[in-house]
Amino acid sequence: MPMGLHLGLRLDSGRVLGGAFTPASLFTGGIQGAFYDPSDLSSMFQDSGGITPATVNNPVGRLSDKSGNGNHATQATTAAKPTYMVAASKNFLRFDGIDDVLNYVVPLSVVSDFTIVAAMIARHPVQGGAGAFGFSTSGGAGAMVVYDNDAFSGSTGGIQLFYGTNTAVENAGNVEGISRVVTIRAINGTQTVRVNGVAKPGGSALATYSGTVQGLIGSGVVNGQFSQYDLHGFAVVQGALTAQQTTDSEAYMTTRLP
Amino acid sequence: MIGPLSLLIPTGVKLNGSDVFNILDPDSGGSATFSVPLSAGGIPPATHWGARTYLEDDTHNALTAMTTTQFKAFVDAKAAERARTPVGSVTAFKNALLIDAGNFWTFAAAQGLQRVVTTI
Repeated sequence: MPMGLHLGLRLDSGRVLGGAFTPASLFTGGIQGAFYDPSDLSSMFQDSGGITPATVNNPVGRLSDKSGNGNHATQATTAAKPTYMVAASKNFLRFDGIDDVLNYVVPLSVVSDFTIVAAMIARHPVQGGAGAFGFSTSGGAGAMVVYDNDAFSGSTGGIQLFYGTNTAVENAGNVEGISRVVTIRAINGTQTVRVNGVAKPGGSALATYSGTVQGLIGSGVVNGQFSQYDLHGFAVVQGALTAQQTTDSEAYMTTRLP
Repeated sequence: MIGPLSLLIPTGVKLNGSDVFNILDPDSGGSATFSVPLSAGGIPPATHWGARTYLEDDTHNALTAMTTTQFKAFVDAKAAERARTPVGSVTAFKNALLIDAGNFWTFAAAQGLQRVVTTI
């Protein structure tokens, strides 16, 4: 059992004795990935260089990685920056579904096992809504995409996975304001999805990645397929989380939602 | 900052617009401002390019209230201030630029435009 000083003893689950769980504790011991927390205003900056602090209702060019790995999500083009907003006392980033996307690079050596947990609220796309986040390889096609309110592919909207073909996970209609904590677990080359803590049937094949992976938030693929939604939390973690780590992460993300 | 605002330009002035926004964007990626491909019916190739963006107050004023001569002086001053590559003429871009404060897709549709969708 890995143990270390982290304001207390850390257990396998990422819990800290005497403190609440946070996804940041999943990365101790050299675990790669990133943890983005829009609820923490100090982690957001107007500029991609991380100099000017973010202000409400203005664009955000850097969302700092709180995993300790330094994999900050950035955007140097103001038009493509999401907007920092506050509602019901919760901070979040709104992606406009038009051109907003944050980019990050995760130096995962083997990405065939990874976990993503995200807290998001769908916003109604008028045209072209598609990928909410994903990985892309060398500027090419999206290798893994979660669709949210997918008007693009002609579905009724909801959550879909994409690799080669779309795999419908949850079609809930193009309804604005649906809150979801979405978990993607990629284990031994197969992706599975949980929505609000409930495992969804089926899974889609996943490419075996190696080397540096281009991560996207706000879009599913480089140069297109944007989705309109509010991001309240996001973590991508090397390896498959344990069941306890998964439920703890989902519970944490749920607290980020209004 | 003012916005978000919808900006549209025809493909013929995209290069000029990218050069101008390389200067006007306070961050370093302004040349990629016009990234949304548009055409009638969404059929490629793109005839227009769009952006939905915030603008600094003085930039908004320059784009909406200045003459092309005044705008050129404004852009040149910003280029010097930010150590960005100066542009030559800004006339084509300035005269072709459309700006709207409303919904991007409604604005594009009013011009007979839709996003050019690329299949993944």
